[in-house]
Amino acid sequence: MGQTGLGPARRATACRLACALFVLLEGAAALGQTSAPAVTPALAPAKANSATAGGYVRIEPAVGGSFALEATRQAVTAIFQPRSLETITQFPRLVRRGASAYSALIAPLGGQPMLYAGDASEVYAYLAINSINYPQYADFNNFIGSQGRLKVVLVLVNFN
Amino acid sequence: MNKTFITIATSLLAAALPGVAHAQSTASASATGSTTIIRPITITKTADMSFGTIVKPVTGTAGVQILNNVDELNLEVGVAALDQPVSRAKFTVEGEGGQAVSVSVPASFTMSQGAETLDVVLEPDFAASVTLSNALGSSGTAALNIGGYFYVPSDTPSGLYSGSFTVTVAYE
Repeated sequence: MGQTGLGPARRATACRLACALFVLLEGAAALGQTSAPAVTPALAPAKANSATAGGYVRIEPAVGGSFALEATRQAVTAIFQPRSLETITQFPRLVRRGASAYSALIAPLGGQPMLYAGDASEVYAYLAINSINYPQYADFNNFIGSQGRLKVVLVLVNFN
Repeated sequence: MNKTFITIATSLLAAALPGVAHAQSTASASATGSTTIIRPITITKTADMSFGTIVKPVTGTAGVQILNNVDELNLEVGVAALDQPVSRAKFTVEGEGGQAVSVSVPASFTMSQGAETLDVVLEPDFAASVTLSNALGSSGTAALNIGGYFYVPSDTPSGLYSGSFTVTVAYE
């Protein structure tokens, strides 16, 4: 009868080929594991990082009212006429120096002294609030004159 | 018989050839393996960008700016700031000393209150690449400060506006 399978020599050859293929496949698999390292994702956070900051601002309406100065030989009086009792509750806060405007410091209501700070070379003045009734009067009891003449420059931003 | 002779001769030749090849490759060379290990880079926010409370202009539009070199406001005529803390956004980068780090900051971000928005243009006090303090082998840091500005139209609705932005750093 003819051979039903491979002869011994051919079986050996086939076995070697199979073994060689297995080794090749095994090698390729191993190569694939090392050439595409899984360490990349682990390295990323250490190589780069980020952080987030918040930004905040509160926008408020301008204070309503009018402002005027009255000068006598004895004093300069500042009169603030708020439009309403509602608005007077909105302004007792510090106003900082602007780009080209003078700054004004307003202390809380209730008899606390109020400081309006104009240009440093011109005038510093304290404004006293005696009550929340208006018009409010203020006496400038400390100022620096200029060439013997009182020079008062007081600019309040956002007073309409 | 001839077949056998040829086979033997071929085998001898094949056995001799590797010997010849071996004799030609006796020279050797060495390669050096090296690497520099550096510590991970981190960035931490130390302060948010706070403009405080701004009184909007009665008419027109005015700008509000936080300087990038000091925690102070620069206001255009028409707006005023109430007495509240003002701060630039501040970050601290930490990593290997002496290493160059690229810093990515968005050009702007949006602060919003509902559907109302204020667009803030960011002004960092650093370049796109900074170098961490100290040298290799020591921990290094860099301080990043970011100021910015926005414009307030008189018809801006009152209220608290907020938003956020992200700063990314990476070793170069």
